[in-house]
Amino acid sequence: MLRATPKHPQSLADLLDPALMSRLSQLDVTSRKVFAGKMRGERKSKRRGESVEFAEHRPYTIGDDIRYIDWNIYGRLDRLFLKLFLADEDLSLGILIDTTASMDCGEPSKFHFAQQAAAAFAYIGLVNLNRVTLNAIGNIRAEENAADGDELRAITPLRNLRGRRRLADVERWMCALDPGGTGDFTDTARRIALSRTGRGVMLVISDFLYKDGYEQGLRYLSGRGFDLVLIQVLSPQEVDPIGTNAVAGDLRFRDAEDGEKCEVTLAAPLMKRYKAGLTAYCDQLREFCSRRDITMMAVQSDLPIDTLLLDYMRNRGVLR
Amino acid sequence: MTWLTPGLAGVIAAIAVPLLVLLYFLKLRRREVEISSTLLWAKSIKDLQANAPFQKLRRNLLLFLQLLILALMLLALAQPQWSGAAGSGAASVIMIDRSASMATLDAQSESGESITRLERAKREAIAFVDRMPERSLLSSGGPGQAMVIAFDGDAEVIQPYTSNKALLRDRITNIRATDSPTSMTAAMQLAAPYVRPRNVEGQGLRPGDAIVMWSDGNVRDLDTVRLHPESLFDYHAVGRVGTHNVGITALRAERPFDDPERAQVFVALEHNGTDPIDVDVQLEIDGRVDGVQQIRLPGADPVNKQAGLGGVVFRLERSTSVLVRIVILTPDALAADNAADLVLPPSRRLRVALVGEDTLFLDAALSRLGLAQYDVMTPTQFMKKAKHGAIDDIDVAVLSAWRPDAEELDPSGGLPALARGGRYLIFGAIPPLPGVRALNIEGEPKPTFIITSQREHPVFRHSPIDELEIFKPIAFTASEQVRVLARSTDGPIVIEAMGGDVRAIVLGFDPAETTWVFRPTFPVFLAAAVRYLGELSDTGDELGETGLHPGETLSMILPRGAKSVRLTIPASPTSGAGKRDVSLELTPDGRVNFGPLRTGGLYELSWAGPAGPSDVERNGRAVRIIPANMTNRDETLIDVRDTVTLPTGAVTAQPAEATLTATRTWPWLLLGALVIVMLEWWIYNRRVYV
Repeated sequence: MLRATPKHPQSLADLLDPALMSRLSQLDVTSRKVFAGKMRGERKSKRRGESVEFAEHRPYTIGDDIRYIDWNIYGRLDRLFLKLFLADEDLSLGILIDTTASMDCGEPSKFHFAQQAAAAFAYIGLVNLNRVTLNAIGNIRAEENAADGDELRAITPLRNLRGRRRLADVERWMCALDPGGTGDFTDTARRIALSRTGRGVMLVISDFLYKDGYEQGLRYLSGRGFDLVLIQVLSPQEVDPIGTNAVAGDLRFRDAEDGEKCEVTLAAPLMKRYKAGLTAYCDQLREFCSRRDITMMAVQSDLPIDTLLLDYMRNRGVLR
Repeated sequence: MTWLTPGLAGVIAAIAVPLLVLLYFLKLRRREVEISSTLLWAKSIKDLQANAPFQKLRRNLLLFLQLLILALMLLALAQPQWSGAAGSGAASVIMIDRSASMATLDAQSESGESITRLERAKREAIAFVDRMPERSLLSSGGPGQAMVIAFDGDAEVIQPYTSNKALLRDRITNIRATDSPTSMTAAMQLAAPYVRPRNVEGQGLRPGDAIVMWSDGNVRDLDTVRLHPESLFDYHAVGRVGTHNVGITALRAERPFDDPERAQVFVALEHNGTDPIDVDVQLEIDGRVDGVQQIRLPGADPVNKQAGLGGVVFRLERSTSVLVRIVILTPDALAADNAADLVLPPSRRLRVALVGEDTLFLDAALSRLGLAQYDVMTPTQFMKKAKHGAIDDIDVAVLSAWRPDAEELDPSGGLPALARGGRYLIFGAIPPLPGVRALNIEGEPKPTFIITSQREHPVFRHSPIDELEIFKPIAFTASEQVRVLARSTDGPIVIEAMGGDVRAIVLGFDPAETTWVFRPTFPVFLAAAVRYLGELSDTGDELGETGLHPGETLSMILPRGAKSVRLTIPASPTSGAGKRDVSLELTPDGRVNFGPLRTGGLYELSWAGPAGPSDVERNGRAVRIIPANMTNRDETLIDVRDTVTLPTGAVTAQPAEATLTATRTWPWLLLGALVIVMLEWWIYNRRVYV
């Protein structure tokens, strides 16, 4: 709940320890949907291609590659049929990490947790020759207009990374992320949806505490056919402010993002309503997701990252 | 419940309570905390504060406690007191009855201990003073003021108007009971400037200050309390209903005409109980017990308001002067009326001289009185004897239509000295005595008749002369120095006068000029008057009467040459005062005055110089014993009256129990506030969330 102690990772090893990375190497991202890839990869495609897996036959037409004529059928039926095979294609794995100020809260930090999860998924994606695209919700101050103090620009995404050798890029991009400021989830989702970088698995890591709502953004993303996986990260202090001794008494809360103030007296009725409100909010998100076939899980930032990846994600079939 | 300073508390409450709530609204001391998002908090607060701005304050324990503290402090500031009756206005005249009946031991203290009615009255009055509004900067009425008047037969301003409660409490505490009767007249005279209706411009007559009276209600002259109909008269009755008391209500002694060696002492007893009661009455002579008699007094009749009345007669054979003391041995609630004293003078057969020209009727009556010596002489013979000093063997001289030309005898113009100074019964002449002056009226005097007479006076006790027609009255004036015994339509007609050692009863007519001489009351009057004058003591008292009474003033003439006069006041069991001596100044006419007497008992007047005939000599000083007995049936019948009747209406007693239980509660309220402050501090530090 409260602003977290800044923890800037310098390398990927600061986010994921080597033992975990070695275990992650054996995992791959699965998708409940089959997407067409752009390049040959390690994944079956809807498209017919040059894999070893038979798909179907079709009549030969002029111009077809005669290497794929099924001569056994020609012998039996005296007609030319082409033997089509499923193509092996790569998977597009989009990772969208929330870098707004709200994520820079909690103990342990929600953002650090989100960084760890994003780095792990990026690593898995790269290792498995998936096309990994890293995106962030949030703005950074434009350097050229820093003096003005007002000019903000969106964080530049890192697109279409493939193969282990791009780990360095991921590391650099990830370590450069600095939580803070505001961000527009809907706008970011809209931009991603319009970028036509290819459909695939989209992992969104955020607390989803957006004052202007998360619904439209998720509609953008799910509408483009992404297999969405949402990880809602909340800090233990957000879940139980009193039990964690985070706050007490008569306080004036200031929103980390927009600076909005809210005066509260932490008495039992208010706490009861807050907890009920939080549960309802999470349930609403969960229901929204289930209605749109979106995989969603809510975790606390004090959850060990290996538990998330090796346990929760595998159980939910996101990783295998 | 009484509020001593409600105005101040109200004003401060009007300021402090909204201020405290406002401070809570402003929440000036809120700590600012940055959180991830106010999204859920704002929603929760909106739900909580849905329709009421004061929802912010709901279940805020600290604010609740602070409001509670503030409320307690404000209540303390208003100085509440638990009591039955409120303090009555800005100015009150506190009247406390300190008469004899108030010494009755039938009241109760807060702890249930038996105390006298006066003690109880004082405690209630002090509680009343405590409840008076305090001085306050903001209240328009100012502090409550009170003056204290203690009254019995007389009245005394114990404390003039003040708002100093400590002073009032001190003065009230020092009020002592007396053995005097009860009278409101003097008290009302003292209070009159404050309590009588005031003429306020534009409003007409407005009520004066309130009267708050503590008494047992045995006040005879409440009709003197002239108040505005709207005036507040608070009556607080003290004492318990149904307390029984037996007391001596009359005491007198007589020596029979024919056998003056013997004496009879008559004691009248009364009691207020409804059941008959056996009473032991003891006679003491010169301090030694001479006899005890038991008498059964009947029960009082409350319906007809008649007390249980009885009498005892002691017979004794004493020719000398003795001190007689009657004591009721049966214990009761009031001790002051259980004893009475009288001085029985020595036996004496009177020597009477009748002086006059035409003394037919007087001679006929006097010659049959059985006197020790009876002489009839003409004025010439009398004057001749007087010139030779041969009349000092006459106890009483009866002058018929003649008065001596005394200027030849006495340059001061008095009557000739007889035995013991001179006792005269004068018919149809006005003697040269102080305060009496004959009027010269031309022509024949007009017939008149007597309209009033003092029937309680010994000379008229058995022979009333009301409506007696007088054909030739003598007109004269009488000043306050003389006692008027009867009045005619034209003025005083029978007086009792004195000058120097002379005592005289003067009738302004000749009995031969009336029809009186044919009535049986005439010889009765003559006998009573001769006896009265002859046996009149030097104190001016009739033989065997109870002498002075508490509440009266001691005033008597001492023999010529008396000096260094001292009065020994007896110890008073009622007030607790001890025996003490006071020096008295002699007036130019040889009189000493002291009073009013507060205590019953034997007063001893002593002086250096010659003793009178009835005085004794002790240690070279002349001593005169003067008994002062309560003998007052109004004080003996100690029933408590719940209602007293004023000219403006009946006043019912305030409940006395409630008034005494007035207790200050503000210290407890402050203590409560302190406890809550500590509780709040503890909650604040322990972060106890509710």
